[in-house]
Amino acid sequence: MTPSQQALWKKVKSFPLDDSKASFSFTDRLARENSWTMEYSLRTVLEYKKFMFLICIANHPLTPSDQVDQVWHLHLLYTESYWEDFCQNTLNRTIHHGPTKGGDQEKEKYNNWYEETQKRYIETFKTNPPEDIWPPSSIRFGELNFTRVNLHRNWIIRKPKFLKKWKF
Amino acid sequence: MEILTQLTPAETYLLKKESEVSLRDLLKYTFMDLLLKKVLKVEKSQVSDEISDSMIGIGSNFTFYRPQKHEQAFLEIFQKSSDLEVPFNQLVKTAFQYARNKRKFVFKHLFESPNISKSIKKGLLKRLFFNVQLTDEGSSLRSKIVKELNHLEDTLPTLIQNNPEAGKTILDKINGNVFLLKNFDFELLKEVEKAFQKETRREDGDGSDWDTDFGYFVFFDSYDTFSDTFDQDYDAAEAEGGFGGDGGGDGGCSGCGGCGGCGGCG
Repeated sequence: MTPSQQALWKKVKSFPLDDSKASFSFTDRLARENSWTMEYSLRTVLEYKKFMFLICIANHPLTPSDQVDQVWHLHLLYTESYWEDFCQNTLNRTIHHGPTKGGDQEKEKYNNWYEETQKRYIETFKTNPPEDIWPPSSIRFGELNFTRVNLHRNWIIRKPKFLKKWKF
Repeated sequence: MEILTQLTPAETYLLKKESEVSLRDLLKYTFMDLLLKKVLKVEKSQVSDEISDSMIGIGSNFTFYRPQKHEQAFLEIFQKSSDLEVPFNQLVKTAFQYARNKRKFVFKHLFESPNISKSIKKGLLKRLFFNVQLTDEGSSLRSKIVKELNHLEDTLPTLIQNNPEAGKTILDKINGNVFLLKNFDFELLKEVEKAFQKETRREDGDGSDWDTDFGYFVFFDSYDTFSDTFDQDYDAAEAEGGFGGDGGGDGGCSGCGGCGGCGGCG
């Protein structure tokens, strides 16, 4: 990292996503909405910050893991924090979020971007991205089948291993 | 003072109190012990002009430290992401989630410590009804603990006043077990206790729902004394002969044009 990149990373890393005054913070919501533990949520928030930093220093588009993307989605809901405090005052740039337009070409494009992101991560942070937050492309793009479930009305039962390859 | 130098405060506390221990205290002593041992460190982070957070990160001894299983409640997250800095209140939640409940924490984590594994009787019924019973070896160990604690309670305050260097040497040896001494009224410990009390209330369901029962973090707003590390507390104690002190790329391009600065989520 160059000195200016180091300075930016320091700012990004210390950016407070959690409002200390809020009784239900950003990370609390992230954990609840994704059924993640607090430990996993806190680690994923750090990975989100790393990703946003990489976007700032990269000269090509990047793609996050689904886990990091969930942090991004949630941050986008906190519009003041995202657009003003983070983009405008911390990163000094606007970073838009662009979901896929669908189709095979897009799939390939995002696959390449994702692999590029992981390479860039290793170059910048001199460590491998944690696999439980940055899974391989085959899992990242092979297991995109999420839905919102009302847990007051439904149970979730884990699918047996041998049935996992079927998408039903 | 041999025994207290070998046991973590959670182990000492369990042997002393047996079934009467509380999860809150077990975690609280464990956390404070890890701070004292410099396995973890605390730093103040200024969120805004008025608000600051106490951030917990890895301390200078983190890499070399071989933790007991019950200490993993506070350390596991940093073993997975060593560059992480976590607001204290969030780390408390992480620890409570790791512990799950008193029975699991004691029987699954604490009992595995080689320091005390032979001191406590095991069995399904004991686990089911949370009945902590000591073996003969455990009873003997408990007697030694009580004796050592009593001795320190009687002598340490005077020793610190008359010979701070000798007092500090003892404190350095017993680490977090100092919090089990009745004479020590740390401001820091009180503040931490507040956080743990509130978390316990939530764990026990004494409150409303998840959305509204996380107000305990507010105590950090007034947690100014937490900015200084324990080192400073001890240095102050050494200097003043008491424990009254406060512990306390750019470059590239922006936007989502064709030249980068944007991300997509596939």
